[in-house]
Amino acid sequence: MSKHLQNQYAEYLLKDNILYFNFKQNVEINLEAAQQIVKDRILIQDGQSYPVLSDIRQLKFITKPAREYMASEGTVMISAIAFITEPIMVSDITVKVFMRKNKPTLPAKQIFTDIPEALTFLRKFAI
Amino acid sequence: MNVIEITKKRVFRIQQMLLEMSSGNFFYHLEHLGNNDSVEGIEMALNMLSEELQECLSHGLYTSTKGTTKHLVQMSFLLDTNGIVQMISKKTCILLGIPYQDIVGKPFETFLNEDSKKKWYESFQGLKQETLFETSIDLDIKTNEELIIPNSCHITTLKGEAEIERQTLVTVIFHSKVRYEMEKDLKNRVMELGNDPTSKTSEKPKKRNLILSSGDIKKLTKAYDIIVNNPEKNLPNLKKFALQLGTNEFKLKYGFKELYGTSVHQFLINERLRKVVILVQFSDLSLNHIAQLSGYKSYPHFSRTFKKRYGYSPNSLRKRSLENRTDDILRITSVTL
Repeated sequence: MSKHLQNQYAEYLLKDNILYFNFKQNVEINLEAAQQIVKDRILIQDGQSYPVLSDIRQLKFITKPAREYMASEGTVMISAIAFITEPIMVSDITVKVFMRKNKPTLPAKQIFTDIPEALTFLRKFAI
Repeated sequence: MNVIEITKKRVFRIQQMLLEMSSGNFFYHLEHLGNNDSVEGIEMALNMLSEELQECLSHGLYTSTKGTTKHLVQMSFLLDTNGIVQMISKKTCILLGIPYQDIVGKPFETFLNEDSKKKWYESFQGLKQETLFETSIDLDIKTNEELIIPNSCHITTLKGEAEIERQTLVTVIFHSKVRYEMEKDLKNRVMELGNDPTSKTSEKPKKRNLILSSGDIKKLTKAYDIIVNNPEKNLPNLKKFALQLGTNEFKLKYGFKELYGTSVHQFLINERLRKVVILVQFSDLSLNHIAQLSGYKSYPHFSRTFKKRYGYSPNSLRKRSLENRTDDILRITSVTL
């Protein structure tokens, strides 16, 4: 059995102890949106930490306050994260800046372009 | 417009942005066109770069990693009852790169991008219905060079004697303390419950006469990273922590405050509590459990520290957050795959 949740910015699917997170098409994330995204993630996780497959290929822009929030408050209850990006596109540079500058406080984090590879990485953290 | 023309226009926008940045103007942004291609990747990187540079500057050339700092008036527009610009400040012409006569007499929305136009119409409708109206919205203001200035705008109506037509003042605010406002907003919402007296929240850092070398800053940044990455762990005393970092107690104590605007101890508490607030608000974990997870020895200690920092207890925040919990849980659907 899997659980599904969505809001105006993203979709969440909790399956086989991995949380699949997808941004909806062309979304712009400001602080308010970031707060809603984190709130819903904690809601579907129901008090448990999970590894997260974060597909950000549809992300249009994320503001600086939102990046800061995601790098700190936004990392609560994430045991590992794999970002899925498209090389040299918006998602790619955004996540690179995010990792270098905002330094999300996560035990394990990596950028992938291939979903199966990302899942292999995350399965090590799926208990 | 054919592909070559579009590319030319995009390159021109990027050049304008770089020109502004080379002149020290980091408050411009490139508009998101939604192409999601490699050029847009560069455009978004430029936007992020200018945001980061702006923050370095407003923090006295030190690299602050959290929050923005100031409120400054950047542009002012005085509008008539129909939303037509009547008067503007000098800086408005300079920043928009448009002469005075081309701004005055035009509807205010001429200077907004499509998304912001919608937001503006909504606010302006609200404004028309009330005698005196005041609100703040985020708007993207377009410059002559196709760049945008994304900022908070304060909109207020001005009223004089009855026969004088009512006017509207739009003030574009440059920067605001995002984190402070976020916490203030949450506090207001918790306080609506009316079961928690207000107490003090933030404090202003005192200036110290301390010169920090790049080596010192590197060590202090390391201290910062250690705390941010392990907020649940208790730190050794300042003397031992300074030794661990290869500096002395004085530099750690005053240098940290100079660089990050707060003491080492207070910073640890703040970092701890930032994540705690999320768990208290959005999770079902017991407050006792959250206290333990966050490195507090006892619940009363946790509750006291929390209340001192935010002005309300974790319990009040939990009560407030539980109000819409059932509706939220009902949004989750079970799927068989």
